[in-house]
Amino acid sequence: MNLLRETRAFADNLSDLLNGTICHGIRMSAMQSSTNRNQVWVSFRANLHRLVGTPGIPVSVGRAPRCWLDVSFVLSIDEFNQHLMVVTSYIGLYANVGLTQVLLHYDYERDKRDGYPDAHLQIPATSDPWASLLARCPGDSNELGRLHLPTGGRRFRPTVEDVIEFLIVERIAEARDGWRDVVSRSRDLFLGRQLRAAVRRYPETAAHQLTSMGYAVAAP
Amino acid sequence: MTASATPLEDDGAFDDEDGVVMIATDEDLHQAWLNALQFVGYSYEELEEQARTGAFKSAAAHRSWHIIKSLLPWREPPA
Repeated sequence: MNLLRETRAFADNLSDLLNGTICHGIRMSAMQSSTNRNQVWVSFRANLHRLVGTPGIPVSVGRAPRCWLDVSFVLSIDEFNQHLMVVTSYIGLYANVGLTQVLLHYDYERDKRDGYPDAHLQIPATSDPWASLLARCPGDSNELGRLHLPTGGRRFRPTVEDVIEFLIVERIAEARDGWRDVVSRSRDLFLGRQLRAAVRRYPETAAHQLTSMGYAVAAP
Repeated sequence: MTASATPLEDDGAFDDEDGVVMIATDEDLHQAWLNALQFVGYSYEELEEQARTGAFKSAAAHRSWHIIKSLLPWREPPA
């Protein structure tokens, strides 16, 4: 499997998803270290010397954007050397183009080691009930925004498609005609990849389910 | 970050005809590492501590940590 070729397709699909729904003219790019060829970083408008401090993705199909996205992925190849694997992902929603006013961010870090869930949501907002609760707790967190809200784990975590749909149905972003089909196709691709990964992880469960549905399944 | 990817074998040439994929040298990444920490205004150790407690001081700090840890995983700039 060729990591760069697969990453190129991944970046192009991501660009098509954004441009087919809530954006215009977005082109995601990828960067690989010349000495660490096992991982590739996909993002928007990064250059070789400046990875942070770059502008966000304007959420707009024509009018002035109300918000901006920051979408980045670190990709590798799975242990079977068969499929592209997301090592980390970051999907942030911001109120300014410089990406300093964060509204929420979905994070995913495969095998996260600090005790927080691999896939989580953080919303930098305040809440009196939460503040009251956290003030009575021993942890360092005393604000809602510092909590890592779990979002479903590795296999079926929230996706860029989910964030796009959220922005549209909440009327935060204007959408292009046909956005539902674009989101649906892209989501199906993601879910198909995740399902294949789940079947590789739990082949007996998959075989049992298929057998119960009438399929003939033979052990290798 | 503990992705257990196997070393990749080149299964053929990759033709990136319109420049979507960039290859960064160590020198490029060294400069990117310095630029990132300068932009965010915290040292690597400070960002690491903010990540440990889940309490980043700013959105830029959190975003920078995600990038630095993923792509520039050095405590000190590489030589």
